[in-house]
Amino acid sequence: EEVNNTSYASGHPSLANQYTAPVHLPSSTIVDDDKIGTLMIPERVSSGQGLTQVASSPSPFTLSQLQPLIGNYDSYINVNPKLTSMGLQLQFQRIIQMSLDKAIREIVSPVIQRSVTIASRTTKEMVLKDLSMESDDGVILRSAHMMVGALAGSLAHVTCKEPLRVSLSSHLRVVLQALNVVTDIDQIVQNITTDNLDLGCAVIENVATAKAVELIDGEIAPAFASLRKHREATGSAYYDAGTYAQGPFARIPEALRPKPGHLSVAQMQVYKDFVRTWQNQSSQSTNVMRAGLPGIAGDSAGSSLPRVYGSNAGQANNLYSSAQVAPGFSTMGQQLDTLPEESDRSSVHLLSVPSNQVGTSDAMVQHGAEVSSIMSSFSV
Amino acid sequence: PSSPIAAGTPQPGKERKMASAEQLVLDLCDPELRENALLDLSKKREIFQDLAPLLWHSFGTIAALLQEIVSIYPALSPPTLTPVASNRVCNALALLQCVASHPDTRILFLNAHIPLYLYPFLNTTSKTRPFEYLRLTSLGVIGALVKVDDTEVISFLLQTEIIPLCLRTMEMGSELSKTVATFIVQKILLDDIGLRYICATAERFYAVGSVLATMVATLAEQPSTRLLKHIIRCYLRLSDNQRACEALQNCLPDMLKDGTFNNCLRDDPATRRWLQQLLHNVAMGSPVPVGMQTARLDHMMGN
Repeated sequence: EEVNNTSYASGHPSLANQYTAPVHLPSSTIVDDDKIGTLMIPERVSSGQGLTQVASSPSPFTLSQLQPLIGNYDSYINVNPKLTSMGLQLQFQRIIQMSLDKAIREIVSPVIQRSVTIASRTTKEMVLKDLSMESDDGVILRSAHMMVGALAGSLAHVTCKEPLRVSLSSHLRVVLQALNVVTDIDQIVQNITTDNLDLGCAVIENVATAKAVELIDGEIAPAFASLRKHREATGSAYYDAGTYAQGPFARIPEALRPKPGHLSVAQMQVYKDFVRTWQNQSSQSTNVMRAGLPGIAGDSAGSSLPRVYGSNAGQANNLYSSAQVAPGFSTMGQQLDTLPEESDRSSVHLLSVPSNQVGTSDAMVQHGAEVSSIMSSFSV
Repeated sequence: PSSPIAAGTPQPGKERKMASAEQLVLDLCDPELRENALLDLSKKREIFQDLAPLLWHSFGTIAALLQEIVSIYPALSPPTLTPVASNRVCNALALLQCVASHPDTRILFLNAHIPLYLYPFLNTTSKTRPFEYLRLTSLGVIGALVKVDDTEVISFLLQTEIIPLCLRTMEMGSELSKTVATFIVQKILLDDIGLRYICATAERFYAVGSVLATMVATLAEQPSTRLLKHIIRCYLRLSDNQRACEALQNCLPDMLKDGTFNNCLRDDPATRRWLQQLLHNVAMGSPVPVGMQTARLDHMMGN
């Protein structure tokens, strides 16, 4: 029996380059019951099959689908004091808000589609690989959420920056030229863009994270359901240490394998680190946005942001507390029958961990040696 | 039960070596120990046998390497990547290159879409050393993927639009980066799907053709035999496509025809033959299969 867990087409729209022919990554992974028990790795389908995938439901990446996730970020708009001193505070607030809004709407859909599609695929493969021995579904889902949220957000942020800069500048220019209120338009456009680019990126990053977290359950549920079904059918326990005798784990020393049953604390930490790394890397503006979102997101009904960025007993933005995330697991619940209600205590502290800057040792910067080793492998 | 890796090896030297590979891989998951483990492992990656499956199948290792990658995204624009940070992420990329090279892990690596996390690095333009090194190392991972002729790899790269990123490096990179980027384009072209893709529209063909021509012009001033070799191989392969071959009649750089590079190719008979065949194809206005060339020439000579 083949389980096709694709629910949306995965195009990778390019942003402004000459290679704009429709291109698609194969988005479907067929989990073959007969093989998964021994390989524990989903079979890859040929790109041909991937291309013929027809989306069975409307794309979750259309602007109308994403709009509710964008939320209201007006209060974070940065109006340079210089402009304020010209007595144009309110006008500029409005101009920037309109232009940023247009720019975001222009690029959000392809950026989110690409980022979420890539992050979902990576997360699914990693979670299937690392957590197939985990007996606690809650741990699996929380790990997947932490990973996919950070990956999709990071990818979206880095991908959208240049297109957003171009789009924001051009919208600002049009408005300012039409209004004819300032003389030095180029300089002002540039300043405003610089001041507000991070905010725009943070908004898009947040949409990517929310969307990725929303969709990942549906992505991984069928694979895990199939894994479980196979184990039940063959009478093996969910986490059968015997599974290690075959498959890729046979070659892996015990210390490096996933611990059967439950992950060790150290192992779980690797997935939690996605959130920490991500927090540390973010610009100030992004963090302001994250901190601010739960409050403002509550204004828009139906937004999934409260779920993703649910605040929890004094936690400003506890990203993945299970209490907040669990209600969204209905798909998974049906697939896996029951979900443990137990909350992951340690995740409550996740975001309050003091930023742990990994020390930059004065490790030898040995570019020269590395370069020659890279090159040596390309001599043909 | 002890693992086959540790148990099946009688030589104590090898056992110790593997034990340390195992420990280093374990260390990768600990943020405190990661930086040293990255450095150590990437230095020793040639010594450790089957490091790639160990990296892939061990718990959390690939996840940890992905964290290393995305954690430097904020330093890309505006460009603030430090030499130390560049070195660190390049060590992580060196390990991924290992995974990309290994026959047992290559497809898993593609299937998880991990090469795509390197694309933002290839999209950078800063010419400082940390960025140049980052691009070169990222291209190294892609180069390792295409080194083995696998049409699945080529399809993946084409679908994810690697070509514009390679072209960018071929335009503005260092000689080393240019060489690896051109090597990647060459390997893509050598695949039938790749040649069809690049010759599918005039726009794509000219994008590739003009970057190749620019590099040829640069080479006249700063010769590099290895780069020239890949450029000629790219042109030759393009001439296998009928329409591209016709187009090359107008856009093949004169410097390839007038002996400018004779000196450069003096010790490289293989590349000289490629160049001869290229010039022949272009002169004829149609690709000539290698085996056919002699017969056709004979025919022309009236033999």
